[in-house]
Amino acid sequence: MSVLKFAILAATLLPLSSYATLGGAPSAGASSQSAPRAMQSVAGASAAGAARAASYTLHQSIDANGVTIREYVLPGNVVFAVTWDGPIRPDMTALLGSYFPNYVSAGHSRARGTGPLIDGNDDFRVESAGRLGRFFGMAYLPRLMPAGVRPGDLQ
Amino acid sequence: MNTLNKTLRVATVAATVILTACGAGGGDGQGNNSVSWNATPDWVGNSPGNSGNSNNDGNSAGIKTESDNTVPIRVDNSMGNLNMLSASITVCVPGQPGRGQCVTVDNMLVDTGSTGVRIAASALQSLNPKLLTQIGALDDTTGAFPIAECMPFASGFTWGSVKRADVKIGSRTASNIPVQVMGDGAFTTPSDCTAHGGADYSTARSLGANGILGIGHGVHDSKDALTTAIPGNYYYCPSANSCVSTRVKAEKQVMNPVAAFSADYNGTIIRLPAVPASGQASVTGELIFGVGTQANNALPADANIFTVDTYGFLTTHYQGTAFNYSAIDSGTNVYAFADSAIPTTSDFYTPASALDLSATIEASAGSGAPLAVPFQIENALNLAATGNAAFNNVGASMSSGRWFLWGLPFFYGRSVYTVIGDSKIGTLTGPFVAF
Repeated sequence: MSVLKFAILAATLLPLSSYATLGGAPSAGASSQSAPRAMQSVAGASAAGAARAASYTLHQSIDANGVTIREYVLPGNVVFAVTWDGPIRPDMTALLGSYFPNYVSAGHSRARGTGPLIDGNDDFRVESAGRLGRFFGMAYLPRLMPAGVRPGDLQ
Repeated sequence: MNTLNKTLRVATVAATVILTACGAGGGDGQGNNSVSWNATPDWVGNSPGNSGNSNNDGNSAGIKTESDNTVPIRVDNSMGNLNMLSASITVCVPGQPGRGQCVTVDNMLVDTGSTGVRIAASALQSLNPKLLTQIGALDDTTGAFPIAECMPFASGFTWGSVKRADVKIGSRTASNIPVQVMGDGAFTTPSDCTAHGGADYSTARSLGANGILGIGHGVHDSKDALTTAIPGNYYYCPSANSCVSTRVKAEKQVMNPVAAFSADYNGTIIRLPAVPASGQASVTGELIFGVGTQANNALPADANIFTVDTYGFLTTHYQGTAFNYSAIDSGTNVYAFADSAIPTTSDFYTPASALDLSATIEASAGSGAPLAVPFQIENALNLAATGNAAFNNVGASMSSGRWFLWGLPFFYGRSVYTVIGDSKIGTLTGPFVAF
C-alpha cells in the first residue's frame, strides 16, 4: 500500500522536476510548449556562400518554484542551451546535468563579489544574474549552437 | 599566424588580469590591516558634514538625526578584483557594551544590491562562538534549533549560521541584529543550497572580500521567505548534518544594518570622487547615513529620482531595447549589458577605442521623467594594463535583453542615494534611488 502511495507521489512530482539536461534529451514534461524555430544562417567564409537553414525547437515549462525554463533543442533531440527566469535560481544540477561542475568552476574563475557571472570557454558558457526574488541566466554549449544563433537569441 | 599571435597576446593579457585580480586574496585573518583613512577628503569641498547640532535643520525625513553620520569607503587593490568598494566595520557581542568583545573587520564589500551583513567566519576569529545564536524559525516546531542561511547571489551563494551581533559602522551601531557568519562550518551545506546556488562564496578568498555590507533598499533580506520555504534560502538545523528549509519571520532575518540604527536610518548616500579615463590606483569616498535628515545628506532640488520595485529594479532603455531588470548596484564592478556590436575579450568589452554611449533610465513603474545618462566604455585590456583598481569605463558583455546593471563605474563623481523601504522624505516615498 505504501509502495503504491509512493508511486503516485512520484508520478505527481516528476513532471515538475524533470528538467531537460544540457547536452542531453529535453524534458518530457506535459506542461512544455514546443515551437519550432527556423533561422537563416549567416553564410560564413568557410561555407562558400552556401547558406544552410539551421533550426531548433524551443520547449518552455514552469517549474514547481515558478521558474520559467526554456530548453533549446537540436533536431537530433539534444539540448544545446537552457535559460531560466524566476524568483529563485532553478536546480542547476538537474538543469545542467554533467555540466554543473563547469558552472561552479566558472563561478570561481575570479572573485566577483555579488555581481553577475559571465564566463566560460569553447565547451560551455554561462551567464547568471539576479538577486533574491528575481534570477535570470543562460547556459549553452558553443560547439552545438546552430550556425546563425547568437547568445542574444536565447532569452 | 598573425591571428594566432594576436590571440596568444590577448590570452596572456587576460591571464595577467586574473592574476592581478587574485593577487591580494581575501585577506583572511588580517583584521588589523588598518588603512589610514582620510576622514575629510579634499574633493568633498566645503561640505563639513554637520555643525554638531542636532536640532534637525533641513530635516525633511522627520526622523531622528545625529551628528557624525559618515564613514570612509575605499576602492583599491586590496580586494579580490577591480572596482570593489569596501568599508570597515566592528562586530561586537551583543549586550556587553564597553567590554572589548569586538573584532574589526575591514574589506567588507559595500553592496547596494543586497541586504544584510555577512561576515566570513575567518575574519571574526575567536569572536564567532561568542555571538548569539539565532533561533526560532517559523517552521521549527521546537523553536530552539539554530537558523542558518543559504544566500543566493547573482553568481553563487554564501552559507553559514545566522547569529546576532552588534554591528558598528563609524560612530553608528546596529544593535543585536541577525547577521550571517559565512563559512563557519557549523552545518553541512544542504544539497538544495548547492544545487540552486552553484559556486560557494562563503570564504573571504572566494568572495574577494571579508564579507558583504548589504545596504540596499530592503530592511530584511528575503521577502519570499516570509511566506514560503524557498529551496536554497533559510534553514533550521536540528543537527550538524541536517538542515530543513523553512520560512523565517522578518525580525529573525539577516537585516540591513542602517535600518537598525537609532537615527538616520532611512537610507544611505555613496559619494565617490570622479576618476580619470585611465582609472586610479585607489579612491576614497564617503558612505553617509540618512537621506534628507541633515545638511550633508539633503536631496538636491535637481536630483534625479527613480522609484524602484520590490526587488530594487528600475528600467533602462538602450539602443531600442527596454531592460526592465536594471539596477544601480555598487556590488557589481562593471557596467553589464548587451551590445553585440562591441568586441569582447574574456567577456569584457574591448572596443578599439573608447566609446561614448548613452542609456535612458526610468522608474520601475514608468512614472516620472526618463533621463538619458551618458557613459563610456574603454578597452578593458588597456585598463587592466594600467594596474589601477578604480575605473569608470569598464564594461562586461551580458547577452540578456532584460538585464542592464549600472555597477560601480556609475558611482564615480556622483552622490548616489539609496532609500530604504517606504521611508518618506519630504513628499517622496521610498524605495527609490537618486543621484
